[in-house]
Amino acid sequence: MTDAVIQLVPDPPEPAVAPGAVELVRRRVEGTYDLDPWGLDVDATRLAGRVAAMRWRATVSGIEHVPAEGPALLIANRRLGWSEPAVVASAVARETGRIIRPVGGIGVDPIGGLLRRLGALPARPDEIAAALRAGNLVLVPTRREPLRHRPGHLPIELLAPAVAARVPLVPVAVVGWEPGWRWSVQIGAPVVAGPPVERRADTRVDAREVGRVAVEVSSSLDAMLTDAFDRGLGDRLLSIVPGSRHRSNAVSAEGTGEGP
Amino acid sequence: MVWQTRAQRAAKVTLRAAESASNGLMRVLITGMGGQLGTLVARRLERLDGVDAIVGIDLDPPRRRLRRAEFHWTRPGDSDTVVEIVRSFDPTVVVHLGQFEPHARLVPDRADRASRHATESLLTALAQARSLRSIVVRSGIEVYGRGRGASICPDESAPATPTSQFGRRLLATERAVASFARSAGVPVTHLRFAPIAGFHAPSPLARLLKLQAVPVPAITEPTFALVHAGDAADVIVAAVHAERDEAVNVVAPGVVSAYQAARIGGRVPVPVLGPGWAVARRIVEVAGAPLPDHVHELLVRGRSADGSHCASVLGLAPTTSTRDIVSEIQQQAGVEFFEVIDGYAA
Repeated sequence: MTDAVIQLVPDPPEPAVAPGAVELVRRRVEGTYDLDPWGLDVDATRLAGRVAAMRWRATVSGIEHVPAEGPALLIANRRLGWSEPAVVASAVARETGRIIRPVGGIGVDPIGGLLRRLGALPARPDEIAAALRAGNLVLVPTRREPLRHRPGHLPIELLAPAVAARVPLVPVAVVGWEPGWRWSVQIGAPVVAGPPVERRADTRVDAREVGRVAVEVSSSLDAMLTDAFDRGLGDRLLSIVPGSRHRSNAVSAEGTGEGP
Repeated sequence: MVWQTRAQRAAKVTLRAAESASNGLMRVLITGMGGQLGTLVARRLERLDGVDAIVGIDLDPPRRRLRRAEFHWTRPGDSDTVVEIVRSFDPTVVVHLGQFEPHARLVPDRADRASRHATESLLTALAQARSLRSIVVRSGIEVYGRGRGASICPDESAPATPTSQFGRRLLATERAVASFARSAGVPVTHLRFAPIAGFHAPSPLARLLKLQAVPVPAITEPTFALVHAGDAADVIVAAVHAERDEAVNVVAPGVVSAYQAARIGGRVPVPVLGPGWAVARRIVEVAGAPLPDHVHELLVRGRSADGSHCASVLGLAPTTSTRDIVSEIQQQAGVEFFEVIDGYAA
């Protein structure tokens, strides 16, 4: 297992479908490139993914937990920088070919427009609900957490749409150092609130259920981060960041009334 | 068309109503039957066995030949005539399509007045409808508005905060009809359509996209969805049968940006920024495609909605994609001049 973890920088596989530059320009000129209601530009996102693969090189484990099709909500820990959503998006896209829709970012144009073109969604429950109904993989980062071994608080209100729609919530532990290029992405087993349902009338949100799912996701994140640092992975990736022992307080009952 | 006196007309309609009441079939009243959408709905209803009689009113005659449906010309606000028609016909289902999109058939102020008067006269008349079972209202996703902080892809539960004249009129109509329906105890289905377009559908957006040069936002690329007039008519017919008491978004699959819409038809997109839109609006108006505020908003802020609820409650959803609708609009033939030989077109 240690050997597998030590291999931090595998050769990234070639993208499954890589339209050539001429094809990309042709689509641009003819206006036949794909957009979605939130402004996602598929060609531009694939192109950005290639650039991201040069900037961040991540090992991925547990990729089988990401559904090959259909909606899912990924919840990733985040520290003080901006890299985690990009690392997860580029790693999952590389492994599965699916485009990740990170939640958040600057909402003001032109930067907001650029981020939306690359797949970003507004941090609003209604937009997340609509994106999930459209079958997207949505990535919700936790609140910023300066301590590397803690997952950070979960934004409960952004998890609620996934719980209401009974789509899988997939915890993702991201370990790395902001200026660094070596990262580790561990994907945990999905947490599902109940059997999938189609009809919106059946998708009422139960606050207790949201709290229970949030605690479960947070515990899973906490366990994965603890495991990563116990194995020394963090020290290899975060070579100049001082380490500390782990203490679990991921979801301090934010809106749930319960601890993990 | 045979001209009838008011009494003859009332007698005929009353006789038809009495017959259908005895056999339990539907009697459908369509306001706005003269428009493209109203005509398509009437033609579809004519083919259904469960529909016994169809009566339509509008300020323009239907755009195609109707076999069974009966049309009555009325001016917007002519409540007396509408009351008489409703009282004698006694509809079981009302399809209220009398909402006039600015610069589609009427200039914005007249369109707004006509929509308001059509709704007021209809609701006044419906007080006389003893057999009314349900109402279907044509609305639009313009009711959600595109103000700062508004949802990009709203579902039916999103707050309605319209930011255009057309959106405000549609919302006012929804509220007026809902208020009446509550008091009458009948369900009302608000069908919130994306901008309706198609080969024959009069639409300010379609006229704009047919210009040789189309103004598009210079920096951002907001997207919009459309719905084909034929698909819209199918959804209305489904809503007539479903008798649901809720709002339903009706949106075609896929979205396009203004740039894409221009390029799909080989038009030249002209980037416009900020105050340049005031100039662009004047120029396109002179070119024959006036730009009402809701279309301007669509171009610069986008317009889409989550239409996934439609299939689950009505059993069908639009199938023609937004891209195909734009292609259809763009491929409409322009004026073709024939060579004249001996006084006849060659």
